[in-house]
Amino acid sequence: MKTKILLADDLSFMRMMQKDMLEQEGFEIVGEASNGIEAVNKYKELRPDIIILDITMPYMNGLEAMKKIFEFDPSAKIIICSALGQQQLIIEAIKSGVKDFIVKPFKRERIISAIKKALQ
Amino acid sequence: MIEDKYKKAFLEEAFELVENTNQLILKLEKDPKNESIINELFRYMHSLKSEAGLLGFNVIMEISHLLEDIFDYFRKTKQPISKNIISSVFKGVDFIFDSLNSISSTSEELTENSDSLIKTLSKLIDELDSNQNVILKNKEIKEKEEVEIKTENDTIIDEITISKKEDIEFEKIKKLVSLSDFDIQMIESDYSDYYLINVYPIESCIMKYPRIYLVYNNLRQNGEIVKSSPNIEEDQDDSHYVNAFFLFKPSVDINSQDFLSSFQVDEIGKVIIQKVNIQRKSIEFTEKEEEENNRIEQAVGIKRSSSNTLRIDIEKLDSLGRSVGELITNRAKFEKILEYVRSGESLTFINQKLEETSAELFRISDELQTIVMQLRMIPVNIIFNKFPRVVRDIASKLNKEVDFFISGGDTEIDKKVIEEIQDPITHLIRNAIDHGIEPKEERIAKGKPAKGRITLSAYQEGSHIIIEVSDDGSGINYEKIARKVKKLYPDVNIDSLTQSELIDYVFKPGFTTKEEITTLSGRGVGLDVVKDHVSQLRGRIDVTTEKDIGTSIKIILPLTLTILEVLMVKAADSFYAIPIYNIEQTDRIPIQSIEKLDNYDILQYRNEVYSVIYLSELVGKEKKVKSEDELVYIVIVRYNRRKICILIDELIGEQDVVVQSLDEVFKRIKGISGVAILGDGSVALILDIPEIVRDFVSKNSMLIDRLEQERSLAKVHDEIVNKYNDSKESILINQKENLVNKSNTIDTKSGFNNINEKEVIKEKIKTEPNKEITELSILDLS
Repeated sequence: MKTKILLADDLSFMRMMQKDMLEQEGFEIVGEASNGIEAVNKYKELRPDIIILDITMPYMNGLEAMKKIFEFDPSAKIIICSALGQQQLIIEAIKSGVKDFIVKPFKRERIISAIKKALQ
Repeated sequence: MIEDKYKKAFLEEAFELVENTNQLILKLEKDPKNESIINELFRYMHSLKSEAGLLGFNVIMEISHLLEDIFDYFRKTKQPISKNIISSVFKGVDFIFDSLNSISSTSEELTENSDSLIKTLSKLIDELDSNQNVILKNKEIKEKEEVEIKTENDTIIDEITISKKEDIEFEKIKKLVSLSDFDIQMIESDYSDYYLINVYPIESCIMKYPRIYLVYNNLRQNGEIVKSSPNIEEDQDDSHYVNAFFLFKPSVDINSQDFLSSFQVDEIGKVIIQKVNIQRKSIEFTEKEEEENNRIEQAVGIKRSSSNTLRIDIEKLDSLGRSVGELITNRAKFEKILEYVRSGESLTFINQKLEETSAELFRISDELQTIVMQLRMIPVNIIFNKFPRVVRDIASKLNKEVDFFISGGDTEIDKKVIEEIQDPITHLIRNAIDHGIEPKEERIAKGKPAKGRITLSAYQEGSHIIIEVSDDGSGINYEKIARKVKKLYPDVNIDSLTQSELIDYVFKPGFTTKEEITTLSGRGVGLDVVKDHVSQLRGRIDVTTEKDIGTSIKIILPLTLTILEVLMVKAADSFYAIPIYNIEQTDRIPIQSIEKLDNYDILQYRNEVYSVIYLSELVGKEKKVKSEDELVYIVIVRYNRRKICILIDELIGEQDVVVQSLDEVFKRIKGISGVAILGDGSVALILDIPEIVRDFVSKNSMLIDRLEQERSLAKVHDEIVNKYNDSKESILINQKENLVNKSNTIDTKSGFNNINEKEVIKEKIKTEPNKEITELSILDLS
């Protein structure tokens, strides 16, 4: 069975890139979210194997969304996606239980290896 | 070459971002302090930067990054944004817009004139914040970013090399990861294996610190990280993390998959694991000479590498100022009195004025003393607040459920003590969770709440501060300790030990070794280190425990390090100070109640037998010859539940003294912990009771054990004489070396009262009613 992935990023372009990369690797993108609230709701609804969560998003940022998701599912596999200069936020995410993070601009290998490691 | 659909999607979004940016900047121009607009702009530039970077449009990425920095500056400083800056920002946005058009038609971004624009914007940022590091930091990262992009076509090597190398000496590690004395002692007294783990992220890794933090987080699931270098909880500077060292105490097999998967973190390139070679401290009680030399200076000065600055509550400084003000007024009053004297006022009048004014001086100096003492005090919360996290971590690692309570966090303790006491508390808490709190199922079976309960409290009791760690766990198992004592100290007669004496053994070095940790549910690992540490702070430890109800360990500390409550005594015409916390009892007894047992002086007093030291002899003077029926003063001192009776010539009374540390020259002298200057300018030596008792016990320990075993003095009579003769020689040598005489009596310990009374005591001693020290201080002692 294909690994189900939920993408959360406010930029549709970013999601598109990610989607293509991941589908080429044989993952299934079960849904997309463009803000934190949507990400939490879709996570509850779709129960993906992994969620790739951008930190900077409108309405509810990635960190808050992450906390909400962990409340709902403590074993959730969350990969935080961030840009440079957000080190502090990443550390906060790690302390809250995030399994891995990727840094934008990222490369195909990075995101795939992060997903594989999270699945282990 | 970029695929068309990406280009299209990128342009669509990027144009929208640029358009929104333009509109928002116009709004910002009218409302230059509007935070939400600046935040939004920051986010736009951030997004644009990420997108451009993803497709390799490096110029757009760089410019949007610079614009992001500018907005970030105003976001953080909350300053209004000026028109000048807004026009520069517009230039940047316009360039991006043109560049996007160029991408749309030719798929290439604009590079022409980009350098000068980048320079202008960089300069602007420098000007904005020439000494700020926030933005500089971003720039630093940017340089790395460029490097990263140049190697875009490299394949990322994801293989982690985990190599186990040869053992490394502990000495080297001390330097590598800056261990505190406490850590070192703890590690040396612990029989677990320790490993040095050196983690390298791959070179191209952009955020090294978070990557290493992930490893750190994983490792903590599999053991304890004693230290890390750089200090991972504090140092967040990415450039310091080319590699990181962890001193690690595993709780799982280091060949297990669990452990090895700790390193399965993206962008971690190399891991080197080395077992640490540690010279363990010997179990022998006596091999502590160096430590003992340090002890004296620590008891007095607490020379540690802790920080020497202190933040002081402004209110305390205010009251200091007020008191000094009063002192100045008081001084003026004395000058006035001098005038009265000169102008020939009546003696009665002058006397009255003098009495008033000097009474005031007394009050002020008392106040000053209290204030100065308080200046050194800070609330214990400063360290207590760190413990909920510690408890949570330890409990989750040990798979136990614990509720943690803190009380008395506003209790104030001397700053030096606070710095020193954190590690011992951590250790006690860890012990409570590990050994005290039972597994959930066991608790339920016992009818206890499933969740364990640990309380950390601080409170003041007289001149002491008590820090208490209590749990509602299984309590200390005396039988198991007894079995262990039997094994480690075959000469000891277990049956003669009381429960509290049994617990004393838990505090002996090397009491628990690795194999026993699993079988012995009692406490033990490293407790001797905790005890040593606490006694260096002039404190002591008290344990109360009850089966299945729980254990409570109290650290009892003096209120402050500079002022010491002492009993002032006189021997051989000199003053000596005995710290009150070492004193068990004082009394006045007829000289004939001191028995002679061969050459030894012993005293039967309230069902206990004490060996007697003459203080005058201890300090190398002749003891005064007393007539038969004379009453003499005794001070019964106690250290570590061992008691000795010290006979003194005169008892002066209780006093608070300011402790002065000894000069270097005198530091080697055993038995003296410091000096106190008395009101009349004379000097009193402060007796180092722990040292005196310990020295006495170690010189006579063979005898003591023997005595206890035989339970009869008469049976070992000859042996005592022989062994004593041996030890006398060493005492004599010691005398020459140390300038301090040692007593020539034998020691007894509290368990001694089991000895058949008839064989020891010829007549009962009439004892006076128990006099408390406080009473003594008001007795007429002339």
